[in-house]
This record gives sequence, structure tokens and C-alpha cells, in this order.
Amino acid sequence: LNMCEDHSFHVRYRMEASCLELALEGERLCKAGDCRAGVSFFEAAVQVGTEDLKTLSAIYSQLGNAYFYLHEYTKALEYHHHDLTLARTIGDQLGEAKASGNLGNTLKILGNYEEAIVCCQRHLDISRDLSDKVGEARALYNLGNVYHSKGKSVACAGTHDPGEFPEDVKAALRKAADYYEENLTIVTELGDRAAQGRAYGNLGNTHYLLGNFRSAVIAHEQRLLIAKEFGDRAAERRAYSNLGNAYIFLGEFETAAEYYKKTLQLARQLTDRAVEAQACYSLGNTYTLLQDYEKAIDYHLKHLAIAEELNDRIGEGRACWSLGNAYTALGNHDQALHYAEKHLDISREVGDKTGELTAKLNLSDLQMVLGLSF
Amino acid sequence: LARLGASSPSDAAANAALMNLPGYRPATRSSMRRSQAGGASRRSSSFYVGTCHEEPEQLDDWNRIAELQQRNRACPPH
Repeated sequence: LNMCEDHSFHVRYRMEASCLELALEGERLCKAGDCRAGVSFFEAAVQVGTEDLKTLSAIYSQLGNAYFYLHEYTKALEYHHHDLTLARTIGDQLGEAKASGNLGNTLKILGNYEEAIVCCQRHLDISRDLSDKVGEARALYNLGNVYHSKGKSVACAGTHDPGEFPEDVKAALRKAADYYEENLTIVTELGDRAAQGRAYGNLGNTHYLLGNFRSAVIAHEQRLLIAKEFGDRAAERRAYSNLGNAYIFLGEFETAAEYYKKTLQLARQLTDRAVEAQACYSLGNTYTLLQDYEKAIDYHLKHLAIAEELNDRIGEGRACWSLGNAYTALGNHDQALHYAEKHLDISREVGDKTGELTAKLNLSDLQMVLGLSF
Repeated sequence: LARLGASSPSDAAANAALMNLPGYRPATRSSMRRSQAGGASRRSSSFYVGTCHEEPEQLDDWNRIAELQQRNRACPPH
């Protein structure tokens, strides 16, 4: 009997060890950027199982995070939910707060904003009960993000300009701004510059969508400053694009062009072709607003070339439409006709009904000008 | 129906019903101002709201299990 007990203790001890070892390897792989491999180790750790519920909770949480990173949100939801159930069962308040926050973020991505708000609010309430300032700041930021996404999801579906959304969208965006401000107060107290940078970036975009373009500029300038402090060139590039957008709506097109040029420069340094194309497109539009059609054409042609290279048919269509307009403005009707025809073909191909109609109208106008139709 | 949509009825009930129709957008002060101004309406249509560049999701908590192991070493489970 004694030997038998001894044997079962040994097996259990080995299993405990291997469960934790597998999970550690999973975590190490995720940290190194290989979440796919990390997931298999975490899954293996769950298969082995453990008596230590705190360890199990951590494994669930990391599995959820890994699946989130891999964009498998339903799986992420499943594991964050297991983590929440477990944390509640063992009365681990801090664990419950973290699991609620993770669940909230996942629900936000899945577009379930109402449940996401409940979860993030739970994260906030527990963090405040525990006087956990870092957790509180995190929860405020996450809540801001949920309201921002909620507002933006409606905003993007329509064809509104920033500042001209329905009242419920604006209400959500105002809430987002309030949460970002509250977050900023805490992370500034804590001296967490990286967190300040994130909050300024999203706050700036929220002000932009609300039509508060001056406030957007102030926030994005702060974001830019912090990005430079950290040598974070991707964040620097985002700040330049966002500043460019805000200056367009302030009617300061020259300043916008300067920021878009900085975006373009960084996109090239970071060899991000999609961002490079977008910067060229924005520059083309800005020079159109400045009525410098030669420069506009130059940038739209650059945009077109990259869109063709990336096989982005929608981008190509947009470029052709813009080129048609710019050549029309210059009185070069032959070139305008060429791009209007191309715009029509692409619009038909991608099933863009509005584009097709616009192209047809442009074509009939141009054919009239060129005397090709009566 | 097209005429109804274009006339932007002031009656609150009719307005609420219209708001539920897909794609219905009541005229805003600025869009009316722009349509009066003619060509100015193209000012921002190319700078769509989808172009705002957001902060990426934060996922840097890859130390939780390693921290647990350290805790277990300091105070072994019994």
C-alpha cells in the first residue's frame, strides 16, 4: 500500500511538473512571436492538467491571448471565459479582473459592444476595489477603446464626414474621449510614457471623428513626441498620417501635405508598401485641394503603380477616378477619357455600383467634350 | 418615396421612421451649405473616416506563467 501511494505521488508530481513546463514553453514561444507553436504547447499543458488552479487560470489566460493574437477570436473568447469562471470559483479577485478585461477586449473585436462594456466595467470596478492603479488605468483605456470602436463601427458604415455623425455615435465617441482622459490622468501620475502615447493616439482619433480637429492635433502632437522618445517609428508614422488628416479638415492643406510627406518617407523606410500607397493617395488628394493638378497626378500615378503591384483592384479604381478628375481639371481630356474607361472596367469587375455610375457619367461628359457622342 | 426622402420632413414621427431605413441620411447644416456652394462638396469625400490610424492592440503580458513558477519556487505548493 505504501509503495502504491508513493507511486501515485510520483506520477502526480511528474504531471504537475510537465504541465507547468509545457505552459512555460508555450509562453516562451509566444513571447518570441510564434503564437501558433505556443498554442500547441498550451493545449498540451491543458491535456496533462494540473491541480494548481492558479496555474490553470494563467494557462487559460495565455491561451486566450495567443488565440486573440492569431485572430481566432471565438477560441480566445472560450478560454478567457474559462479563466473568468475559474477565477470566480477560487475567489481570485485580481484574476477575475484580468479575465474580465481580456473577455471585454475580445467581445469588442467581435462587435458585441454591450457585453464588452459590462466586462470592462467589471475590470474597472474590481481594480478600484483593490486600489490597483495599473489595472484601473488599463480598464479605463479598454473602456475607451470599446466606445471608440462602437462609434466607429456606425461611422464607417455611412458616408458621413468626421463631426457629422448621428447623435448616438457622437455620444459613444464622447464617452470614449472621457475614458481616455481619465486613463491619461492615472498613467501620467504613474509616469507610464508608453501608456500615455497609446491614450493620446486614440484620444486624437476620437476628437477627429467628433470633428474637434484642433484637439485632435494637440493629442497627435503629444503622441508624436512620445513616439520619438521611444524611437517607435511605426507610431511616429501613424501620428504623421493622423496629423495630416486633421489639418485637411482644418482647411490647412499645405501643413497636411507636409505631414503626408513625412508619412511617405517613413513608409518607405519601413518598406510598408500599403501605407506608402495610402500616403501617395492622400498627397494626390491634398494637391487636388491645393489645385496643383500636376503634383496631384504625379502622386496618384505613384499610388496606381503600387496598387497594381499589390493587386489592389479597389485602390486601382480609386486611383483611376482621381486621375480622370485631375486630367479633366488640366483640360487633358484624352488622358481623362483613358482613366475614366479604366475606372468603369474596374468598378464593374469589383461590383462597385456607385463607381460604375460615376464612371459612366464622367465618360458621357468627356465624350461630349471630345465630340465623340451627340 | 424618393421625394419624401429628399424633402426631409420635419414631423418627428415620420423622421424617426425614416431613420430606421437603410442608408437614409437627413441633411445636415453643413451638407446643405455645401450643396449650395456647389463644387465645395468634394472637399473631404476622399478623406474617409476609415483612414484614421489607431493604436495597435496591446499584448505584452507574456510573463504570467513564468512569474507563477517563480512564486512556486519561493513557496512550493504543498
